[in-house]
Amino acid sequence: MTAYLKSRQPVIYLLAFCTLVCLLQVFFPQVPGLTPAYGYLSSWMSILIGFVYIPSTISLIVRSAKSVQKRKERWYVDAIILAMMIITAGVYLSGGQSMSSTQYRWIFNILYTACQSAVWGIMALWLVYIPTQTFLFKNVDMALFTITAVITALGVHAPVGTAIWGGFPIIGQWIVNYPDKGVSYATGVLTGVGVLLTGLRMIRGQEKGVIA
Amino acid sequence: MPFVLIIFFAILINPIPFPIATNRWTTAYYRYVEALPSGSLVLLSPDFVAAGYTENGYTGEAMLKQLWRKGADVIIVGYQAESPMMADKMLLRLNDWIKAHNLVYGMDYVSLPMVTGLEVGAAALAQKGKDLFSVDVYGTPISQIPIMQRFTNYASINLCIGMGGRATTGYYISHWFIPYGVRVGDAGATLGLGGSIATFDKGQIVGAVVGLTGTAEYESLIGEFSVATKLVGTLNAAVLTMVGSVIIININFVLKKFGRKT
Repeated sequence: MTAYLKSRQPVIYLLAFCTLVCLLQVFFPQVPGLTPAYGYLSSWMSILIGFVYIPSTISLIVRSAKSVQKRKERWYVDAIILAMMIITAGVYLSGGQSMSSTQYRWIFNILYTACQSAVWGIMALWLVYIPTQTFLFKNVDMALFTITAVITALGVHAPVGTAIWGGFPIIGQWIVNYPDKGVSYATGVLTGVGVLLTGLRMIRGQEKGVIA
Repeated sequence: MPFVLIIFFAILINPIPFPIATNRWTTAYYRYVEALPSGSLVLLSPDFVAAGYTENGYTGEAMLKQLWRKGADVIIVGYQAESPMMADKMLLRLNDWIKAHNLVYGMDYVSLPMVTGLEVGAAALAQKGKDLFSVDVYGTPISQIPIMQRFTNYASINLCIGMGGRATTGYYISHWFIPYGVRVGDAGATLGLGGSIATFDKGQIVGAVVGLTGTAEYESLIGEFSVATKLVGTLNAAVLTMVGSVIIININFVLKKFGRKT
């Protein structure tokens, strides 16, 4: 019995049950009891997913602390992560545990937002570099790719295209409305089918996934 | 390359304005909100990162202005850890506008903590409504917030708006629109334009305000010109630089190729 409980089987059966309830609720919402069961499961799933933040935070703290203690490579980065985590948590907890804390909002609005924006802003220089490496007329496929990208950029994403030539928005809109949209449909369908099949494989025990 | 960079930064500092034509998905969203009855309850989910404020934050500000002008009440709730802070930033930037229009926190709008679980959280929110929360982001108990007393479940909401990408809009389509018919709007990133148009043409969303250009179009529709309209000049500079680089590099590439053959 103990061996059975320690195995993957009970988890797989529980996962299968939850999946079945959720799937059936989508197609047969009129079945009595199914929608309340789905709502109950949804609430528990939210709780479990929220709980994940706790062990992941502990894991990060432990890993960073070990790295600092043993002076591993780039230990100073882990030291900064640890320090900022403790400071931010301390400021939030001492500030009434709400967004009313001025200091907490300062850390986010001035420090964090500025740093993240700076990192993304640096990537602006890649705007000049990456196209020079990617959009080359090496063959017919690449030529088509380059021309499509240029026309879409000028026709749809920036008003300057309309000022250069009135045909850019017309062709750009056609590309977005037909080929681009068609690919989006196909991607959506394939993604959905892939997720469903992967889930079924996990239930059957053929995929390890989170149950490993 | 240095020459291109010089032109790029020159246009960046002195952006050149160009007339902005509106797309049909932006116009559709604008018209839908214009037709909303006064007193409608709207969910707005600012699920974008801090650095994405340029692309989605200004969209949220413009959306809030139009919603409030139509007399709609807005519940701001997201599914990402940064959502409450992004909401706080939007409200901070709109502080003067809010005061000028006599809007009251708790009556006309509220900002809630993040809902965990991403898609599962969105599904739970449709079922549970205000029961998922005990306090708002400022620590005020939900029972003391008048607007929250109206939010029992999906039936209380007239419009859900997913921001920051396709994910949140997808949650609302899957768990609010398809099962219950609650209409969904999209304020996505430029990268997801194809997906936004696909869902718009399928009737799954009422409209979309996509990226910086979409926000500038939207601002021209609502008549409230802000940062997004000014930043389109910067976008023009970036696109021109990219296109210019591509043309120059390919001319060079083709000349070298023909040079080798001869």
